[in-house]
Amino acid sequence: MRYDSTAYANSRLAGTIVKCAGKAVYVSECFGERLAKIRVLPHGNEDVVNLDNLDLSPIKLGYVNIGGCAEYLQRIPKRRDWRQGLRANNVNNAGVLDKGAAFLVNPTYPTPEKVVDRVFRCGDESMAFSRHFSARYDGCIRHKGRQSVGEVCLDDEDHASWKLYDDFLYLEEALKEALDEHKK
Amino acid sequence: MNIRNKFGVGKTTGAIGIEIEAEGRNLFVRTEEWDVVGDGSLEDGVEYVLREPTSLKGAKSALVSLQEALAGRGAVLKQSARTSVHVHVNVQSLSMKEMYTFVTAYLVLEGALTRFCGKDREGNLFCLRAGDAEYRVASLANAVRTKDLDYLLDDNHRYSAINTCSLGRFGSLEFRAMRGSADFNTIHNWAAMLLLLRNKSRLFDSPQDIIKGFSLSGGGEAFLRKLVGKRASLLIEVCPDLDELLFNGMRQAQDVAYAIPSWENY
Repeated sequence: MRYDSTAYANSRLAGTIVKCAGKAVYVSECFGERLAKIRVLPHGNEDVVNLDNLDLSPIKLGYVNIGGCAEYLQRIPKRRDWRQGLRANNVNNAGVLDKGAAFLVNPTYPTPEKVVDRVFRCGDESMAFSRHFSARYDGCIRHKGRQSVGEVCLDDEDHASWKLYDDFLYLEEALKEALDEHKK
Repeated sequence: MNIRNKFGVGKTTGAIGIEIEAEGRNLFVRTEEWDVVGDGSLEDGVEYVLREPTSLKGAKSALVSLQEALAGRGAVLKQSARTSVHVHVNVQSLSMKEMYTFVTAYLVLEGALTRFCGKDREGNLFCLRAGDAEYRVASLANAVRTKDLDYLLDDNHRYSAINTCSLGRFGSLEFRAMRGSADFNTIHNWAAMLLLLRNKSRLFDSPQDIIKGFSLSGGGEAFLRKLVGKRASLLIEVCPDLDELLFNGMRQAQDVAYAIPSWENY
């Protein structure tokens, strides 16, 4: 995507988060001859880059583990927003936006074993092991942040088994992929 | 109960409505079929709006007459990130289940369809795909589960590639993905594909039947041909990663199709 004027780019990008050189960046403003003032997220330095070096393809959102909790971040296709990048106004969970976007550009999730350990033995409220699946302290498997779709149970030898409820068996393949991802 | 009665909208018989945004020079033309309106979001631009929804054949003829009128006036349409084409597909006669089946079919194909609409349309803020803005999918699933129409009419969803807010105004689904284009043949092909998708999706019993159909189709290409016929080749041409696009689309569509365990009495 390429904007034909700096002013138009500014109207779509200022105050939002996009990608640049494989990282999430906050665009403060677009100015001058196709330039953009950016800050690498979550706590990086400021820089000035050419507008054409910004990657305006969407940041793929999903779960992010923050402070012992799996938070699900998704974009809202709002009409009265008119911004290409992400910002508090066009996501469901603004409180985790900066850290979440920085993480989700190139996410690394803990293994399911680690997740089980954290939520069952270490007191974490919940933890994600993939972009779309997480487990909660009460054994609920959650999908895309919105519902309990199954249970994770520990047997006598502390081995975890992941079981979907009947109404969510359609997620079987997706869950298996998420669990197996870490074995690769 | 059909969509028209469900949403209480006036009866419309035409299958297709089209809005074309354009920037350039000498654009102000009016024809029998098209109205022209200013659009504040464009630079020196206008929007051509089909006065009445029409058949696919009528749309073809209207597009030709607009092209001729523009040529006669010496109009120059320029490529612009600000312009797009919106196509409304009449779903007034569909039941809610049939409408969701159509939506599910669209979601499976959305990645490929958007690619056809233009590289710059993928991830574009004015026509976000389900994978770009998953809130849209969650909301559709809630609409299915609760039967609460507000989930479909909420303005927060208007900038998704498939806009359901127009159900409440026209009894149509609005497809926003097509780029602004001076190639009216492409616009016609786009409208034709969407209409085919609506019609072919009625051959499936339910949204879940679409997902099963995809799984059993033996590959994305066969499924695509089943839903958009010979125009599938237009998508195959621009999608070397067709199977992956359709598979990802299917994963998004599953959340809508399986929002309820069974559609039998929906």
